[in-house]
Amino acid sequence: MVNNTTSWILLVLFTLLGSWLSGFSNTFVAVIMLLFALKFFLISYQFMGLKSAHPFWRYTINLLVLGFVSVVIFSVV
Amino acid sequence: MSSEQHVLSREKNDILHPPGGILIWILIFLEVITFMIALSVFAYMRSRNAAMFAESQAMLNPLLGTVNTIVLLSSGYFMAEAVRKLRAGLLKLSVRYTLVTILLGLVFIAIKSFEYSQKIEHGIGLEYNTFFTFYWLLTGFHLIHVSVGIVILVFIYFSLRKGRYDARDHEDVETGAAFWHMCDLIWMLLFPMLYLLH
Repeated sequence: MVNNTTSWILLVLFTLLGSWLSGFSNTFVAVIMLLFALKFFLISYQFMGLKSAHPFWRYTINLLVLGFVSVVIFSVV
Repeated sequence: MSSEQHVLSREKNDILHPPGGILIWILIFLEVITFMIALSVFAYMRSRNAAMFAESQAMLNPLLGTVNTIVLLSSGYFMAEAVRKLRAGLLKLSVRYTLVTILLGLVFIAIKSFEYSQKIEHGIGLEYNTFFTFYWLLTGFHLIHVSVGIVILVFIYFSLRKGRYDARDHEDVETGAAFWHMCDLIWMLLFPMLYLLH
């Protein structure tokens, strides 16, 4: 089970990985956006306690992130 | 069932009681949607003028952006822990973690201010080009949110020290924490779009 400390370590690792991948031009756009989505979910579900909220709030956040990631990827590719 | 488990169970079944309260979540959704729309417009504008956006992005310092991201994520971690300790009745630890959160928030502002001063020194202002208009407006609005968040956290810190909140009564702390995490979420949107994606 993911706790706050594990989430924080993952968040830092994902941030460093994203920064490193950005050095390779736009080859890893989808990976960088996937890392963004994972970070967004870790913060909202773990730090903000969304995992214990009503499904309405969880599904709405999921849809927002999915929509945003799609728009960005299609605008770059 | 402990009081914490009881609260979590109630939140899971009640659409009107998300963690921190429904009003802060309506605010969070409005803020996140607003920034997402602005960044979608930014992505569209970049697709129409990729060369200028790439040239402008090269003028940003990705190392400062990465360090600031880690600072803000760490502050979010300490705030999440402050709430958890308070729920567990560990008031002194909660007070300390809230203080660390505030200090890290101030570090974020200091680094951002340094970055802003570098841009101003080089004459890169709001009207320099479209990329920097987005950069100043988006990061500026985010910085205002961080500043407001710090004021809220300072209020919570002194209230915690006075013993105004405890393991049973801490909804205000959760609401303040949710606002602070919203600053994290918005920065998670801004950082890849402004600094990382080419």
